[in-house]
Amino acid sequence: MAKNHIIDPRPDLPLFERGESHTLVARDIVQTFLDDGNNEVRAIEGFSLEVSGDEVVGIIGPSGCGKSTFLRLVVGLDEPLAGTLEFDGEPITGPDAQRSMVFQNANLFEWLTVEDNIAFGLKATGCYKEKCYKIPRLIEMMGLQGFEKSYPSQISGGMASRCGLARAFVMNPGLICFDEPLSALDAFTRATLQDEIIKMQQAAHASIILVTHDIEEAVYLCDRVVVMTERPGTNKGELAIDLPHPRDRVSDEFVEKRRQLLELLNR
Amino acid sequence: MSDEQQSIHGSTSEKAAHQHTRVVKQRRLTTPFEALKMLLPIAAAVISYGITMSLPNVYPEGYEMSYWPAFLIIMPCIYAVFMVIAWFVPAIRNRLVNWSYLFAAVFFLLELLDILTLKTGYLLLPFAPSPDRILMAIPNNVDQYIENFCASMLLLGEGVFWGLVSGFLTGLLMGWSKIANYWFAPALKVIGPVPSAAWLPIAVVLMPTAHLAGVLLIAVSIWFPLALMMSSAIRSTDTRKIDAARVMGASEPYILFHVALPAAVPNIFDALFMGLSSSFGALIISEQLGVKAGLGWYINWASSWGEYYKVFATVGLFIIIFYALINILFKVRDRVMKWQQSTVRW
Repeated sequence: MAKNHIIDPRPDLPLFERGESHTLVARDIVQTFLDDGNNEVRAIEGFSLEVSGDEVVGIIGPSGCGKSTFLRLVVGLDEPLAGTLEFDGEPITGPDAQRSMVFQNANLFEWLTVEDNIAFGLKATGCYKEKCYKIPRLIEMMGLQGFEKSYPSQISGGMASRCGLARAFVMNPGLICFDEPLSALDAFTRATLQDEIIKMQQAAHASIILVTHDIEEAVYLCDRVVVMTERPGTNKGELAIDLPHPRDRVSDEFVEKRRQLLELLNR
Repeated sequence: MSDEQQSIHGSTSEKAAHQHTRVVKQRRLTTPFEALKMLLPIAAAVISYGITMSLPNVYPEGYEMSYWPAFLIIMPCIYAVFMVIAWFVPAIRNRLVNWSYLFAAVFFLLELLDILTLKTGYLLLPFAPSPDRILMAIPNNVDQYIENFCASMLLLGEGVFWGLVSGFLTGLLMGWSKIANYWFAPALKVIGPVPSAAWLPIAVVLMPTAHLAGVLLIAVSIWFPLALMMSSAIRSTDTRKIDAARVMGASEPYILFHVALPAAVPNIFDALFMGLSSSFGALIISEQLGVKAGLGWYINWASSWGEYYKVFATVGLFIIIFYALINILFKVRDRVMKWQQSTVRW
């Protein structure tokens, strides 16, 4: 335990090892699930998406259009019924440290302290000894100093989200899926955390797929937003957002992009 | 017990106060009314002492008291020590103030027993011994009590140990594997609810010695609630937590031991409280047959000799032992589940 408190024991090592650029290819994905009456429901029907480099891609669409289902396929929690799903040219068959996920409401382990929550992935994959120097640095980056030994029940929702972010980034993933990560937070905390996400993403050079219901959040964070249709979800349209970071939420370009996205969604 | 939980809650939330937030402790002075209330038990003991010393011992004629007057002096002294501590520790003060009526009433009730037995002979021997007699039972038979206490604790300890081991393993196996659940769950549901008393003759036949039969009875009483609650808790682990662990690359055994098991800890402690309580019953029952030592056996033995003061003393000892064991379990739970107890929020 005490080891975790040594401030940066390996300053010579980078927090994020910069690997080669990663590519996710999803083509004509079909996925079904069983509803309460044991009927087969088509969640996704022929959805395609390509993400590479350190792109931030948003997915928005009506409730139940299969956005979260798609993320589960990308991280390897489920397998698609049909379609091609490849990461760096290899088919996705299961979870992998290269593909990480930030869950709704942070989804921390209540019985672990903040630092143990962040260390979980390292310990589970047996590379804790080798990479534990990352934990104090991530804690500092996320502004969680002083709360290393706190339990999730002792910290605020915003701090829990920060912890969830650190937990996703500790494995140095090439792709991170965000499943409405900030939906339960108040507007002020959400705005701060959006900046943190961008900060972490730029430091880690990871690509992000962000599922959200918040149009402003999509325009604020994403380089590109993919709009899905109602269930069964498929591609409805796409909007590139080529504004530089940090973005100004009240600038004319920002408002214009917001309007375009809304238009696309309601088409 | 609810008061016990309450106070445990209070103390941990104080401990959970974080280094970055200063929790200002409410230091409230003792009010005069509280001070008077705290003195009540001492007053009750002094009055009881006066009564018992001034009334003659008539039943049996010429009986000389040895322990009861000393008890009425020593207990208030111990209480006074706590009062001094209470001056510095608000938590103890609040408890003393809260329970002072009860403590005073206990002294008066015991003195009432003294009057009804030794002082008047209203209640008859040997069934209703005086407080003095009950108090003398343990000091005058220390050897017997130590021997039987050790025998009981050994039996209970062995039984609880095997109950924990078997309950933990079955619970884990049933929680993890559907096949194990298929085979064990019906057995658990059929065997588990049968009270230990019903198993007694079968246990004696099954096991080579009476001691082992007792161990089996106690183990079963722990095994049932532990296996049942643990397996259901593990099987109903929040799937979102399991997903999170899988995404981070955890293997299935790792998830079992580092996600499902810790998530089941609250249920495991619920089961342990149930199991420990029923194991006390199993202990007494298993000492009724076959064994040659143990506090349960001693109660039977003393009553058959008409020495009811020993029976009462043993029951008192049981109360202390069981109360202590349950409280130790409370403390352990408090330790293990400090993540759930904290009420400090930002």
